[in-house]
Amino acid sequence: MTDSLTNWGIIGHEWAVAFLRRSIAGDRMAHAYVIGGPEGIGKALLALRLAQALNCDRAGVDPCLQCRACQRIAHGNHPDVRVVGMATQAAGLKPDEAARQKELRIDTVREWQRDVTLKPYEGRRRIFILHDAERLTEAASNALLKTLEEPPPYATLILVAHTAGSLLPTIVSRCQLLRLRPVPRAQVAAALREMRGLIAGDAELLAAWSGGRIGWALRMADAPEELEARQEQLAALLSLAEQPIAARLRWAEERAKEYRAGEQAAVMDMLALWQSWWRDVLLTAAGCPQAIVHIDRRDEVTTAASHYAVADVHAFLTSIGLTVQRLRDNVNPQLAIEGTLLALPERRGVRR
Amino acid sequence: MASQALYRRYRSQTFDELIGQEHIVQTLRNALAEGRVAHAYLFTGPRGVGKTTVARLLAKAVNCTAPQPQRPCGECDSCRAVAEGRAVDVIEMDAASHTSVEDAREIIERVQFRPALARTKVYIIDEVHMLSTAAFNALLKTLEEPPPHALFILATTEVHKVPATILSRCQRFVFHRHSLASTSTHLREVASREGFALEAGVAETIARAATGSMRDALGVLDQLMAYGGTTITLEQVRNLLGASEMQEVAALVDALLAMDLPGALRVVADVAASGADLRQFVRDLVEHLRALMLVRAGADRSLIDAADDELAQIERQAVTADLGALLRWVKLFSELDHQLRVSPYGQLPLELAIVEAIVAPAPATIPARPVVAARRAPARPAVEPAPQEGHVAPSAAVPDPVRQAAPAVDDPFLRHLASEQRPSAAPGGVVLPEVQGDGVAAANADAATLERIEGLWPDIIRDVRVYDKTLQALLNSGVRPIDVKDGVLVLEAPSEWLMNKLEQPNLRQTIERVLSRHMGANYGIRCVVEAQQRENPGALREQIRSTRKDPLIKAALNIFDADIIGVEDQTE
Repeated sequence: MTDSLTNWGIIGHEWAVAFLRRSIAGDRMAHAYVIGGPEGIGKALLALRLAQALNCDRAGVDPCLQCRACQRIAHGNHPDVRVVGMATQAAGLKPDEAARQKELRIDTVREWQRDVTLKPYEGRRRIFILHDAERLTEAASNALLKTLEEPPPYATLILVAHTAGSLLPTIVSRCQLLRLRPVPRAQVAAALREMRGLIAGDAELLAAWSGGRIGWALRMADAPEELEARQEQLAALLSLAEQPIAARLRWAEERAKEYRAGEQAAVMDMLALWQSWWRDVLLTAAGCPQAIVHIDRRDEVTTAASHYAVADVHAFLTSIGLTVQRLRDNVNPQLAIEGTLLALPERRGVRR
Repeated sequence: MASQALYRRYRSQTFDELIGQEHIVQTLRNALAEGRVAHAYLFTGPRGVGKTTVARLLAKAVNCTAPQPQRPCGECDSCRAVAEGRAVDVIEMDAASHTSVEDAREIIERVQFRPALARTKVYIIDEVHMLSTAAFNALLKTLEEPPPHALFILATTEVHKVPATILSRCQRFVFHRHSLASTSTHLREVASREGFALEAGVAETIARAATGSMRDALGVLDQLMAYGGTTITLEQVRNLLGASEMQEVAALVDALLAMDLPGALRVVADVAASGADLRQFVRDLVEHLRALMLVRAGADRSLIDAADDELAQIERQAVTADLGALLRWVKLFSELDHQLRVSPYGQLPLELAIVEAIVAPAPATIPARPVVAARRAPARPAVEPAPQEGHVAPSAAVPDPVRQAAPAVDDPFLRHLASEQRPSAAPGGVVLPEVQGDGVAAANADAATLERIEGLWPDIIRDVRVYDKTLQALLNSGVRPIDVKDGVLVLEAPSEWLMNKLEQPNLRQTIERVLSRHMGANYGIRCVVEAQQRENPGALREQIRSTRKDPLIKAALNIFDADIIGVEDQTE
């Protein structure tokens, strides 16, 4: 990373930063951007830095992070930068109501763009940042269209979405799309070593687990107990294969209880973890062990791969995916999880 | 201050500047010339094809002060006012954020007043599909008989959401997607006016990615221009669009054709590591497979949208491809787009699809053109990567006429999965109903089944490999199906040792599973050792078949539950 880029403070995505800097330098800023990419990859930070760069008192291509404008934007109290998302929508609500919010409603969007025609108050440009754009309702998305098509010359709109593909095509076609890609493993590992002082082995492992989501990796590095919990969880999942059906079903019941008790995200994470393990087994069994994620358990993966047939592993992975889908579709969680457990492949040789 | 986006700067200001949509332009021009402008229009079509642009042109034209044929001139006061968005009598409304019946009532109220400056009061209602039902209904009377000075122009991308009562009150114009040629021509023109040079192929690549939407195409161009420099290279375009290199797609197809699972997965890993857009990659893959399919099916080359070197590659691959497999793959991979869009786990759906494509057996082979079929057999070993496979694979690849008689199983893989989930369902093999019957009919059915199994045998051996390579090697060392009776397939092994091996429960189960997947019914397996001194297996089969028709022997078989393994002539 060169010095001029350090103020952006973004790991990876050099092309995106370079692109934005050149746009600012060449006065070719678009009126609207969509920043897409998986969770925890640096989208929100990029949007924030762009807002700072456009309103920085020094008026260069990089945000200085020192001036009043930059600092106020970072603290979220600049009058010309308006940020909205699921968090702001839920801000005024009671906790239980807030937990039930699943979509960005049209009122939120209307409120956000209501004064888009007003001129900047103290900055050079008015910046409108909309987080969680993939959660826009249909009505809310459509309400954005005309604003996105021809906003006033002093406004810049930035939509941030986990999956840019689920936005309306009519929205994407009005914006410049910056699709952030997973950060290469080596870069994540290097960043973890530098910024969190992890030793090489741990950094490599965490980088592999992160799947290129730098934000996730940094958060995990700050919370070693979560990492530990993850290891334990994986061990528990693996031991399931040894246990009799009754024990498995009891386990499913516990997970279903957790799920009903509002820990949906935890159960989904667990299924994702399980899926990543079986994906490693599949890749190893299929003869492509380079791409596996659980590099600390390479031996176990290899052993497992020799025990199961490729078709069985494939079937099981599909069934985990199906369970995730079913849980999203609001199927009885216990039934869905039990279904997966019954599909757990049996080792070759111990079959009846 | 930011520069305006290209699609706004190059919005057509006269009918002459407009790209494409000739059918609409001509109709509107005639209407204007003859003073037959309707009171309400509905413009529909996909995004970025010119609906809003034409709506504004029409608003200008009806208010233009220039002589009739030049309207809209784009120069008179009225035209300029519309272009700058300050004309009081041209009201452009965003129906998506003004959806309520109150908003519709406001229109109805105001439309009664005569225009302030211009001749006609024009209401452009964009994104009209988002109006509420009540709002639509409130508009009905006004749309039917508006005051003579009013003109309504409705525009939408989703015409199916507009009620029929609205549709019938408007003149409806359907806008078409821009063609590849007209998009790329326009891109080149805009680029040269902006002072940029495009490398060869750049305009076409952008146009292809834009799928007929001019705004998308100009948006991409805009983004490319922001990269700086005065020449836009093909590499920049590919980077921006995440367009996968054709070689990688071709490499994946090669691996698929060669049934090379590790190779195929490695290609995906490389593509994912290079940060390419996987959805685009899958789209390119499907496009490539489609081209292969068309070539294989003997379609006209003009249907394929590919450069010459790509076409040569496709023709090379088509030689080894199997039409049934291609068909399955195209279906399999084109279903992937949605999953990749919603899946947060990156490439997993693609990897699963590849495993499914290679591990699952091909359903009934669709007969290929004879010319190509003749060239298939020698070409196969060349692309076969696994050395131990080299000797046996050709026999598996040669199209066997009997295979064509195999039943068209709709999705054997799914059924395979279903049968896997209850592995203990059929320990001894379920007997086919028609085989239970007595007499000649049953014997004939058995003989037919045997023939079918013989035809499928090379495929069965091939598919066994996925489960167990050793077993495949065992089967390849001379094991042959020789008889089918009451749902039990008799295999003949050349040695006692081999027979004992095959009798092991887990190996037997594997064979039975693959067999039942191919046959669509469950069969048991029994092994016998090859009788000595036999030079002609076909003759033996014939002998067994004829012998079984003998009532005495049939009775003996029933009593002893025996198999015929050899026939000796006693009179000799």
